[in-house]
Amino acid sequence: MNLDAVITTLAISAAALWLLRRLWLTLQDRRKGRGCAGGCGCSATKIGPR
Amino acid sequence: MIEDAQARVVLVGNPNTGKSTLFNALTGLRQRVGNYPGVTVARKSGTCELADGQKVELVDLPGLYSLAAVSPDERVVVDALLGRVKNEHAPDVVVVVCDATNLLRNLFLAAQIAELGLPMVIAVNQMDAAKARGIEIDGPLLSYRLNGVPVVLVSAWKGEGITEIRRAVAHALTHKTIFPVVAWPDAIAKAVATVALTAERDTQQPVPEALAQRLLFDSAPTIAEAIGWSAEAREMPIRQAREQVRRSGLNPPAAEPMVHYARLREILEGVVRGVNRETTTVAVDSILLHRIFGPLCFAVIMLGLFWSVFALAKLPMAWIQNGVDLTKAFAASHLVSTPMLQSLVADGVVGGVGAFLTFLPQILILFLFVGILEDSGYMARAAFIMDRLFSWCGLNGKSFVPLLSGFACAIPGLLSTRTIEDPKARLATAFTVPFMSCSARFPIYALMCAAFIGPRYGAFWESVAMVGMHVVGLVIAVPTAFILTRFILKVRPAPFVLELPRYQMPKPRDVIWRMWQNAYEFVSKAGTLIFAITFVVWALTYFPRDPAVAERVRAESPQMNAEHLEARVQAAYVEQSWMGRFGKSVQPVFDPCGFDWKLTVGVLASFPAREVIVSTLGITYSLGKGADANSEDLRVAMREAKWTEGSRVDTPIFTLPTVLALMIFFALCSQCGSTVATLAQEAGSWGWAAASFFYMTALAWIFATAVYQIGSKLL
Repeated sequence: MNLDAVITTLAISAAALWLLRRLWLTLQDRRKGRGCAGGCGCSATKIGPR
Repeated sequence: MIEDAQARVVLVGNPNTGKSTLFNALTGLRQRVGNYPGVTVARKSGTCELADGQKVELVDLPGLYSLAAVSPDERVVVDALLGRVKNEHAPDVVVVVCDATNLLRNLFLAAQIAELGLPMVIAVNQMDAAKARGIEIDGPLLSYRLNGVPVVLVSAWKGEGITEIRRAVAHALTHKTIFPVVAWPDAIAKAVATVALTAERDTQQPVPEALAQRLLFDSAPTIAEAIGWSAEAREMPIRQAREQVRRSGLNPPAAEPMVHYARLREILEGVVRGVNRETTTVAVDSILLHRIFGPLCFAVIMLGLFWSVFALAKLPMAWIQNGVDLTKAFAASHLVSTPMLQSLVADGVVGGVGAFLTFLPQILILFLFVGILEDSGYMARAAFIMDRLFSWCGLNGKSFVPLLSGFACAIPGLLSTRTIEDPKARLATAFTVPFMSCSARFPIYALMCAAFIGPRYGAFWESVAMVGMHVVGLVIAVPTAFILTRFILKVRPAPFVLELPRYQMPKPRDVIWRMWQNAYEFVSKAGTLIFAITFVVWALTYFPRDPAVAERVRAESPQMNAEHLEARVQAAYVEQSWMGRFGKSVQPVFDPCGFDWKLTVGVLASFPAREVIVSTLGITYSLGKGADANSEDLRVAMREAKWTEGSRVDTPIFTLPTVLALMIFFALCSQCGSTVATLAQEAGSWGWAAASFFYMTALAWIFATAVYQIGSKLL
């Protein structure tokens, strides 16, 4: 595997993991009724404690 | 962090008294936004420096008319004043913000708060408007009659009286200035004492008279639940106490305002002078709220708003597009030795995020105008005009705030349905909120308008299309609400009271501050969610890369020049990528709507969050064009896109029917994971969320198909 492929794989894996973590946090926030999990640009974004 | 030792000062008052403007003036926008524990009510606080140099925590509480709290917002205010919020003691000073043009009604709240025995300052705000109406207020006389409670005449909008407020709060902190309580008639005093005693006995905790009054007067069980007095235990003693009041000739629910208002009229005798002249607000409202001219003006204002958004955003959008192109070229030229990384950065990240960021100027201008309309007082009129439409379809009058919020984002709209007491009306409102065209739909409308409608038909028709897309959800929501409220949930209609604020000149600092906050949200989303998704979408559109594909394409077209051949190779790679294969397998479902496989991929990728479509199209079109195509933006690439197979081969994909079908699909489809989850939470069941998802998605498909099929036959 060359350097090009290694860097690309690492970048994509990091992004995918970050998205999974965000999904997990969103589900947690929903369960605890904390309002919007953020990212949708709405004013409720700031309501939940981060 | 605010230290515990710091004094806490709260701002309370009726809605539309200018509390937030005063809060901004006192804190200088150094604010923190959090939430109250356990509820989704925003807690806005900041640090305020008093005249003596002391720093206090200033909290801006939600507006309310009375301590008889029903909605979550009102409950928070009562809890905060009683010191019942977790980790918060009762406030050290309460600043009651009053509207100078309606001092009597505003002081009713102050008189209720007086029963809690908290040091108080009266801020008589909007003095500029009062003077314009010919009203004069004698502050020192009012202060004298209130046993020395500081009374400050303020015009927060003009910044007048702010120093005096800082001085008055410092004085109230030191001298504990208490608003004198009313002398209750004997029957009420005895009934309150009886309720307090019984509640203390049943709950094993001290129940002050202020709480006992709420237990006696309020129909909502807010205080009883807060002190843990069960419905069975309290029913009999409260009924007996109310009967005691009734026997003395007083009606318990009306007794409290009657007694307070009688005393307040005495206090205000000679304090408020002059005549309350009819102002321009009344004259303007006679047109803007007219049965016929009102809706017409509303339509003209909305058309003008969207036209301005398009016209003013053109130049800054071109600058951003140039910036994106330069970044793309820079990245491509510096990563030649690593072609995979070059494609990831240039086509994936810069192409995807850049396509989304291009719409920043439109979003900014939209929020600027919405802020101006809100602060000028017109938005409340818009709610009033819409009230006529919605009362026809059986929605509760309180549905308007959630529906109006839904135009910004469905999530706060759904959360604000909590102000509706009737659970059935609440459910019907929650079901219709996602139909309102939220700001996340804006980028796809803007892309379609900018790429196809504007260049062919001009800015006016762009605005018409934009208004049309915002109206289409509303048009579908009305019959949906009608069926739900009349036949399924059988909601009883309830009256709606809306206080219309005075018209006033928006304060530039506040409008720009809110625009800045929205810009921050938009850019941070581009830098986080959209940024991360572009990596995944790029990978799915780039891989697998079988060299045999390139060899096959080159063998098929040996005479073609190198540039065109490279573009064809890139297009073939995208078609056989995972995303391409997936899109092609699902495309037959969306074929009746006129969507090709790339649009299908965009639509499917948008189900978690609808704004993802712009970046997804940015990547699929960037990759398909090859690395040399970085000077062409997404709009040009889409205009040139053609069908590569089937009966429509070599004809443009994006015709007017396709563009309208796509916009209508996005206007009606349930494409937001957070909204579906919030609806499930608010409705208390996933069944309603699933019903909403399938209903909206099916409607979107049906309408998009109808528009495409009928449009293709006619045009």
